[in-house]
Amino acid sequence: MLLVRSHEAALLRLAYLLCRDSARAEDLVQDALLRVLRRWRSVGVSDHPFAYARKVVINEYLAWRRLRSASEQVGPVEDSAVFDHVEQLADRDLMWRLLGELHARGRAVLVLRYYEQLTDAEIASIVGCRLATVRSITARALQALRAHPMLATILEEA
Amino acid sequence: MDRVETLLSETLTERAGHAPPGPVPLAERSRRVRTSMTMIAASVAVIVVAILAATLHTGGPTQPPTQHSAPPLQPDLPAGIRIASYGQASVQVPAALLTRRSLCGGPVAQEVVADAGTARLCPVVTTSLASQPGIVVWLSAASQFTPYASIPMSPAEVDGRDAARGYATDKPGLGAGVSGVVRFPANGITIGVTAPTRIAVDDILSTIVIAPVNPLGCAANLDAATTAPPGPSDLLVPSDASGAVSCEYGTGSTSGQLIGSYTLDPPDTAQLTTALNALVPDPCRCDHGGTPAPGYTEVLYFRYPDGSTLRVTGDIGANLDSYTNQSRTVANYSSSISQLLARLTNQR
Repeated sequence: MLLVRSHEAALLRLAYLLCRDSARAEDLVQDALLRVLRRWRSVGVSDHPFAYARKVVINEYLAWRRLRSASEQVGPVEDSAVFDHVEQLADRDLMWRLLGELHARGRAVLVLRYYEQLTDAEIASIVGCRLATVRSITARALQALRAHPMLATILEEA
Repeated sequence: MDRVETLLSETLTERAGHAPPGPVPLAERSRRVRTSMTMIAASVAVIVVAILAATLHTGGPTQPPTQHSAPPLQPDLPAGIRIASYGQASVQVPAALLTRRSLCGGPVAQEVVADAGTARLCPVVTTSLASQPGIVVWLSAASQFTPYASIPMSPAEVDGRDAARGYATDKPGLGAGVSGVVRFPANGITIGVTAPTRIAVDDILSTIVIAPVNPLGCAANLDAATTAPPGPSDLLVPSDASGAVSCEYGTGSTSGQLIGSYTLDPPDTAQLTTALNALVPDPCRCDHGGTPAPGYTEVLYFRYPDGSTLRVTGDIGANLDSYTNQSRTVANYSSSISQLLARLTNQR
């Protein structure tokens, strides 16, 4: 368990990138660590207890979003700025905002690929879908980002 | 990586620095008010998944049944989520949603609607969704009409396959909220979702999987349903099953096509086992004659602690249902088993 706790900061960063909310991220990681603790007999002797904890974080997040999203509207996130004009947007602030507009699974896949640096096969194992599905989700999420007019404008100016 | 991917990577790295530092307390649960992980309340969230399929006439030779007897798979699903399957399509939906197979009569609300090909028999067919706030009702007649057909669609790739997808908001006839639809030209399957938000719609549509066998082990077609060794001749279902899966295959325009799949927990399995074992072989053993009414096929897989699987096939007719484990066949004139299964699997 000490091994997993030593990676708690990494789990919190992952959860925060998914939830975009500190409180929710802490709840998510707490749930994951408690679940790991309950299953420590089998998880602890495995080669990758941290990987198991990360998988729990992802699945808990996706389950939470699926239950919440029917009543939840896409809105401002915890630390997003208020933008009046595209010229005032920092590139990364805009990308962070656009990530919030993606659906949960797409955001999760992008975080696992571009932050956690996982392969498609590893992502498929974590999210619980086929390799082709991961690629499809990734392609659609990136396409949604690329197609956003505000991002396109900034990239043209770069 | 292109510029977008590079920016994405830089953004995530930077934002990760905003994460809470921890540590997260494990000695006691956080006092923070948390979102309930139980299912969506009727007044808060509505999601309807409507699954409509064209006739699946293959025109080719019948597929030989699969000969292996391995127990059906049990997917590792998030809490509160179940599988809804139709033909080769499977999608993850909130477990609390009832399933409706009949397209007859009154409004459809917060349901999984699986067209079982009986709509044309209805004296009254609901043809539009209700407009009550927060409630979405969907209905489609057979394989020709669906309210979702009016949504403009664009080519898309779903689960690695060619598809078409479209969205509409507050579209007349579909109810308030966002409606999304995915259609697979190759097999004619259409999946429609109406929910209060686009995110809720996509959260369901993104789980679409196309496969000849669904995550519960139900084959998309009855001819390909997994076989199992014959059961005992003196008892239809040995009573120590640890669980069961029900695979339902349609009639009429959906004949032989998977129109629903459900898992039964140990208590429900025990209840079903008791009810099935109370049936006896048809004492008449006569030809019941008459025009056969449309029926469907129920394939039940009972799993046992030793890893074995028993298959019971039910032919569900209008006047007589029969169930067989290949060694013993019993009859039921009262539809009690069908009604029990409908209750246990949250159907109406």
